[in-house]
Amino acid sequence: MKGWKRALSVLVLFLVWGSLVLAVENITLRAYVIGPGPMGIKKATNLELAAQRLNQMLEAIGSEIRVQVDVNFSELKWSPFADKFYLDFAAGKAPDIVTLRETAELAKGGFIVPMDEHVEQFWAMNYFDFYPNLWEGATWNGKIWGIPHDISPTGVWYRRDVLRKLGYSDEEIDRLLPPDGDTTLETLARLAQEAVKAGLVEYGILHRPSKGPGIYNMLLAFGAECYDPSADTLVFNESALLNFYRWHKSMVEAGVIPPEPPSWSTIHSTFVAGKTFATLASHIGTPAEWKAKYGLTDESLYHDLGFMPFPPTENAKKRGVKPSSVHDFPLYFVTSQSKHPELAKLLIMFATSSEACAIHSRYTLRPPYRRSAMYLLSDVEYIQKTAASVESVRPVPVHPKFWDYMDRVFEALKGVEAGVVNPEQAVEDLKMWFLAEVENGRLL
Amino acid sequence: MTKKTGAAFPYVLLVLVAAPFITMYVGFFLRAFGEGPQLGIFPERFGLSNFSFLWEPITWGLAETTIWVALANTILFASVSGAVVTVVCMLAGYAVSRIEFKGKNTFLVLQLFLHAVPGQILLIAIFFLLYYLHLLHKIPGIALARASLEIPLGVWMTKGFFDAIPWDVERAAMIDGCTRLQVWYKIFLPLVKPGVAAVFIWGFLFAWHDFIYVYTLLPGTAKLMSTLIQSLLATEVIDYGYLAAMSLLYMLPPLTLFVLLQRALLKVPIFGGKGI
Amino acid sequence: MAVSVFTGPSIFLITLFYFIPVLLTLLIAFTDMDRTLQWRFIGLDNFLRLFGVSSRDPFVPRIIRNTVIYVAGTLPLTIFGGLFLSILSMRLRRGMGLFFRSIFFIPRAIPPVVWGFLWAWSFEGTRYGLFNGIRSMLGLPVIHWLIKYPMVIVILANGFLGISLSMLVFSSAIASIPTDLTRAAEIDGATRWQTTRYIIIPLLKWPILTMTAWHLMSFVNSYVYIMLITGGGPYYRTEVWSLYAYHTAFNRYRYGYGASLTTILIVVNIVLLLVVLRTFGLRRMIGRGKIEV
Repeated sequence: MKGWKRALSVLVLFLVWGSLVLAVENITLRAYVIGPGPMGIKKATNLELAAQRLNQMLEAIGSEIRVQVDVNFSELKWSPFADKFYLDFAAGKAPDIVTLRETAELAKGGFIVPMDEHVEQFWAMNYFDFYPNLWEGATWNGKIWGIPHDISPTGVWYRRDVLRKLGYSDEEIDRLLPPDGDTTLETLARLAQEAVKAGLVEYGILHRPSKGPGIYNMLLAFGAECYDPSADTLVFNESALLNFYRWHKSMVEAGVIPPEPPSWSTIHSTFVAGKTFATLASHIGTPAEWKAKYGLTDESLYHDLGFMPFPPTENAKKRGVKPSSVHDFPLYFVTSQSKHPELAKLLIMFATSSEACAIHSRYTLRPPYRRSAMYLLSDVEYIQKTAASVESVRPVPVHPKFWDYMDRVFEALKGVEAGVVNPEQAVEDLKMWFLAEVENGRLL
Repeated sequence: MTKKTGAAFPYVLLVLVAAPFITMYVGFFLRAFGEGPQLGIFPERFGLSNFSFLWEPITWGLAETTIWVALANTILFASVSGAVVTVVCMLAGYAVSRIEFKGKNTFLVLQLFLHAVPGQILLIAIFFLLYYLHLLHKIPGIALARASLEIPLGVWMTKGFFDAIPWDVERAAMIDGCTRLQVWYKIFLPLVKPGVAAVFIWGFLFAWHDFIYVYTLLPGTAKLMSTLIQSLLATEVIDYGYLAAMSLLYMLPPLTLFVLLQRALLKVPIFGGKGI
Repeated sequence: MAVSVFTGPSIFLITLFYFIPVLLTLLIAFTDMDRTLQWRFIGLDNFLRLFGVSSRDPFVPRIIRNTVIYVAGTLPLTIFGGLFLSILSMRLRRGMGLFFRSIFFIPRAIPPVVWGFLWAWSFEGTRYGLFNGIRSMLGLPVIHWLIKYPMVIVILANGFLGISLSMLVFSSAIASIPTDLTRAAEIDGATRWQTTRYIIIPLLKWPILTMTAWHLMSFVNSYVYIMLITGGGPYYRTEVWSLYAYHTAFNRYRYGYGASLTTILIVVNIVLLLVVLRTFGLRRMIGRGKIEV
């Protein structure tokens, strides 16, 4: 309570000071927000809501300042969206607030300003109940650079109804593929192969058609750590990578994974229709999309589908690798070109209130990123059931070259699956790239 | 017998080579007008539902666009490009046809060389150039860059038009005391009217077809027909029939122009352009 | 003075969009420019890497090989395919000949995006693709064309684009051969093949040469259709030099390294132009125009 009061007084002080110094009535803050995709729209509207809340507060304390936000919600995918930001930045036209996931790259290049003072000041007022592991994904070089506002833990979705048709009882299914992921990748693969052999499904296991957090999660399942946070370096685990590629190759040969990764629409539609046994492409909030676009019913969701974190391989499990779930964090950043950085930070604070968090979660079926939002979501059964998944989520490494790395890993994976490059050669090529482009990279 | 097979021989060969292409074209066409799942060539039933973009907005992520916006952008892009090519080439073509000047041969050979080098390999630098000129992401700026690609061949084309005009015409005008520019504008342009139209249409069509310049230099912000189709394809959730229908609409103006002006256009190697 | 009014605009635009970009490419090639758009000169590092002097780019040898295979596939296909189709179609009745020529001209009359889409869709590896759809209708298993035969598909798609032009040029050239010539030969008892081989083809020498030179330049630099059909994949199988430069710059944001790749391409182009120039002779090029139809 004491901290809260201190935060409030800092806030009031700041606002009073602001209204004296700035002596302008209307301040417009610009923001670029990316979904990506329509499910992310609340990330944009929450900033508008935040402006309302902030203005109410300003009015209450008698300030003359009013904040307006001009939010540009982008229809683009990640990379053209980032391009636009960098170009506008170079032209001196960067917005005040941006959502991106290249935290390390942005921080290193001086594009954004650190937020740790702000987070500390307003800890008791707003940030106290954010899941602690989220801050790990917002920290680089010892500083917090942005505010988490979305979380979608990756995992494996599978069809329980297919397993029932194969003759497994519900108890057996829960034992083989438990919700906490305490099983092995080999078990999942074996069941997928059975389903394919029995002609029950068209595809055994599908993964994303492009790089994304799922591929990193899969690497973790093989025990292939890619990042050493203590030294802030990327790690190249040759033997684990080799196992990773060899496993995929054998899965293609067994007919479990197709040689060409199918498109998103095929992944979603065949999984919802029960023609794919398991998908590694999705996260815990994906049912919102399946319901909206692919006709998934609640009954089918609760009865026929199962979800668990990525289970480790047998080999990795013996070495102590645990089931894992990851998430890449898009954060609200304040750019270094913002003329009102403190005001922008406050706006972000209001845009990540419990209220805003609940609005976002309700819409996307993704778990809330702060505990208190749960009270506002007591009527959403799905979220109540799945929210615990957040606790064990690992953030994707915050390193300037990380996504580049994953891009190369994924490209090689597609080559291996297509049968145009063997696992050994793929790893060799990857290593060459790693040696050439990753500074201080560590080879295992 | 042998004579008959001899006469049939070219047909058999041509049909064999053409068959896959005819299949592709027909399949594409049927897909655009088909409804329901299609396996192979024939759709379940025929209908116009794939053309829904004509009366419904195209949802794109959260934003909506309409086909009319994309068409208007494409028309703007192609018109600016066509106009620049026309004006610049009509001027230069006149000079190389009628005026003796130092370095004329060098100028002409240079154009040939530049025409042979596809400008698309310079995109990295053009990206930075437009960026520093504050023309990046702006339709007219990119149209200007795109138009420049067609100047080398355009100069040769227009030279041909002017070469065909007798010298007497010019002499008479010169005696009347007109300046070169006046002669060009008042006497020559009216004489090569069909040529002006041909150059404009040619510049227009190339820009209309362009993909790589627009895709690279105008990402997402303003959709043209080519990038709209490409990005719908890249979302991987759009039905092929819908894309085929949209492609048909996209192809309609150039194909119409081509059929209408076939004779005039085939005189110049207009389609020998870049982009392969 | 008066001339510059006429030639000025074209020289300005050509300088702006050809010569300055070449210089700019050279400049960027010596930086490690990335998407943050900061100029940092790093000397010869990009080139050293490219040639494998310092660190090695494992893909360069493969990409050189791909480019050679690609050009060696598309160029003969364009020239011989164009000859084959024009000679055959010119033998048919006018209407039929025109019909077949139109079929093969279509690639050039439709936009690149549509041509790319047509191929990508026709050869898609699932039963939703055109040819696999036909196969599964006949009860055959699907073929993953684009990962089994990516280079073949890419060569065909580009080769037939080349054919659309070469066929047109050769056909007009054949049409301009006086019929007396061929008829006389046939009266003398020459077979169709002999007439073609000893009369028609020698007369097509100039168009064949120009088409070869033109398409050589074109294919060495081409990447747009490959990008649209296979995206260079699977795993660099169809990644040619110019596409690698494009991907390096615009997908991986290594503008500096991409520019060094482009620099090599520019040098190759200059060498090729010089070779073409020697073969054809300057006078002949100006005198006869580019394409003798």
